[in-house]
Amino acid sequence: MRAVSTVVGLYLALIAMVVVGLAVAGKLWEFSNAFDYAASRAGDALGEASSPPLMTLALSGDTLYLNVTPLRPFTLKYLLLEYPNGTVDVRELDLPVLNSTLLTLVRGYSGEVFRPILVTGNGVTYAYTPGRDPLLAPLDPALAGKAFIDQDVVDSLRVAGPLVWGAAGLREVYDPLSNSPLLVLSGSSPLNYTRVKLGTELTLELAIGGQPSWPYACPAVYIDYSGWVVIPCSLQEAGFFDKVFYYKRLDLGGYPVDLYIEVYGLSKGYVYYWYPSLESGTTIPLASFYVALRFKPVGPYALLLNGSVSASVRVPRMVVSPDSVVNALLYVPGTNVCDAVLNDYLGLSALVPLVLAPYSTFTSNASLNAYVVKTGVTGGFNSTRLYSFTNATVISSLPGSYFYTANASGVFSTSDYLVVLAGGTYMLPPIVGLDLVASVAVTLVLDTLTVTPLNYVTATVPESFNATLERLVDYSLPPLLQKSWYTLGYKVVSDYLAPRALVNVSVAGGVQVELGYGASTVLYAPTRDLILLDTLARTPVESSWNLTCTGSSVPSTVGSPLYFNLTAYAVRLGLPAPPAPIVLSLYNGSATLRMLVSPARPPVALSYGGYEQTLYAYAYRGYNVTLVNTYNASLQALLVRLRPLNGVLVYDMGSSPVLSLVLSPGLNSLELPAWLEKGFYALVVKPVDEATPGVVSGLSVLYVI
Amino acid sequence: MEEFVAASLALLATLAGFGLVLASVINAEGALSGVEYQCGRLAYVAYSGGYVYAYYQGCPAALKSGVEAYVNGSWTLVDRLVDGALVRAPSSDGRLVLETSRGALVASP
Repeated sequence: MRAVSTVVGLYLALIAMVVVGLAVAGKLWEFSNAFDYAASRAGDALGEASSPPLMTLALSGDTLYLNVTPLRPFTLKYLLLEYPNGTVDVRELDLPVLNSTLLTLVRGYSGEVFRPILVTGNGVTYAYTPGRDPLLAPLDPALAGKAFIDQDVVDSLRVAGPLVWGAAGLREVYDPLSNSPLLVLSGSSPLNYTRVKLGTELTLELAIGGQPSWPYACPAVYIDYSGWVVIPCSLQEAGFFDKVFYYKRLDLGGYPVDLYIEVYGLSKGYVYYWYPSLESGTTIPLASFYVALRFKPVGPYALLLNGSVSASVRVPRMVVSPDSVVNALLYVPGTNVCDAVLNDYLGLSALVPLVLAPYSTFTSNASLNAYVVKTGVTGGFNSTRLYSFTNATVISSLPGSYFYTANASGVFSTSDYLVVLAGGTYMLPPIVGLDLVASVAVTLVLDTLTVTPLNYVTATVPESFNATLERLVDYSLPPLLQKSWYTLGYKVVSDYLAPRALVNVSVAGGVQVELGYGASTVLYAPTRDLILLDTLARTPVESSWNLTCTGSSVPSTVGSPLYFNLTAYAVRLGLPAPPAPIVLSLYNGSATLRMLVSPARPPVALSYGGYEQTLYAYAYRGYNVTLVNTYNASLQALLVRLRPLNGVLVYDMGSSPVLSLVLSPGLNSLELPAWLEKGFYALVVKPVDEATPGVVSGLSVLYVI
Repeated sequence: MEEFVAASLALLATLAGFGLVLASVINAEGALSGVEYQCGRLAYVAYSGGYVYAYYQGCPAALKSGVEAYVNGSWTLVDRLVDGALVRAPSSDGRLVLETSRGALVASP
């Protein structure tokens, strides 16, 4: 019995110990999990707390923004505006802050004292204090002790605008290319540039067949006898297929910019080579690549892509000398590349890099617009275009550096910029034998991209008006002499043209003479522009041209009226200046009739939110203008005076709008007040909705007459 | 008889030892610094106008007494904390103490 009880007791004790042991182990496991979870969350919070974002205050008109640049991404759950009287305004955002984000704090700032506080998803709070604004505080030591935003801070921001402009800060500028808004936030470093490490390598393998054959019957590129590079047909048709693509989102001084680098390879293409004479045409296999850098959006930046390009070529049964590897610099502007190519080729170099001039130097406005559109979908050019590289000019450069502007000077329908930084076309020796295939490996090693904004933003004045003299002008004296031909001397006096303005004048309706028999006779009906005045060098300027008309058996027109229509149009101003109302003077040697050619009065049409933005440069005080809001929300429109500076128009971020309007969706007809001063204005349109993260706005330049 | 007593004493000693370990674990859970409780934490945000503003992160927790939370654009009295809630409560010393079914949560500057 005793033995039995001992055994039972021991078993019971064992069972009890096992049960208790399991309970303890389970509890420890639960504790471990809870600890891991808590430690993980605490680690997140600790990481966020130890890496606060850079927060800078920005002002556009009377709207205050907070630009938040995260050092590590976080989720912005709440934005709190804390006022000294204890009031706290809360905005629930739940916004992932991966890159720089612009938060609208106050529209129409009127002296409120407040402090923004950001609350992250991990419960970490970041409070903005002006005294620690990395851009603003160094410019105004008086802000050192400021914990709240107040009128002093905003005044300081307004005053420091030009300094911030030069050093760093938020800009809202006019993009002359796309009429789209640009927020340019320059680098915060004293050197005022941003260098982005790319650290990537792209390799494109091309195999090039021997002789071109159908469907590659169209040469991809040929160089004509005068040194022009001609792209005669669809490059896709010509075998412009291969492509490698690199994408990266860059942080340019706190502003996110999408970088696309596209390398296109021309496989199976060939170049038809007309040099030195048409008869010496030679077909040469061709491998080509282009490095395209696409920004969206970006301002007039200077760009420098550091890296190298090498092409390794293998041609069967052929020695490619001196080396099968050719290195090309990226982006070599200002070179007459065509000559270089030809000379080098004539020198029997086996491989000749053809470095294309940057996009900005293409002489055709439509050049890469088509390129953008087409390559985005199917690739290639779709029509014959000529590109002259002899005008390859650097728009602007910084002294002593390799920085060059790469913004284009055309008018594009896309909001993207596509900047061709470099291209290489490698012409291979003629390959004999259809069965041979040469292979080319083009490797791009991209090291860094350096971006620096210009000192100021330039905005070219857009196309001017179509001025149509619609009514007939009675020109009865002096009489015209009867003869089989005569010359009418017209004299154009334009009063307000700026230097280098160009004027196109054409006769649209022809010159008619009522011959006294009751029927008018068209003496001259030109189908083209009559004249393109030479560059006008002074203000006011005069120029004249002769219109020679021929006729037969023209009787005396003594006492008969002369009717004509004149259309003057397309006044393009090289520099910002008031528009150029043209005074036409009709003159036949003894008498002059002066007329003011009044510009037509088109409505100002700002199509916002759609695919196209139509801009009419002129608006009249005291007249109705039409603003077309295609956005599905009400918009706020601001008219901000632009400041001419050294021949460019400057949008000061500190400028207060002279006019503020609310545009409902659809057509809005409103009258510009007569008290507006004449001059250039930026018409800024942006959503009214406060909670819209970031800034989406449209901006057009208007001249108010 | 002696063996029985010895075994019982050994069993008691073992159970007491396990009990001590368990108690210390449970105690450690409750006292884990910065965590307050195993699945939720209250983070201090601001103290303004006599109110403490705090942010709750963690699993849902029932409150023993209501507190104001920012819900759909306004401050609403709630009796339950959910992840991501911004709450506020009057305070004279800048501390916010919320009694939940899982224990007390404290937010202080």
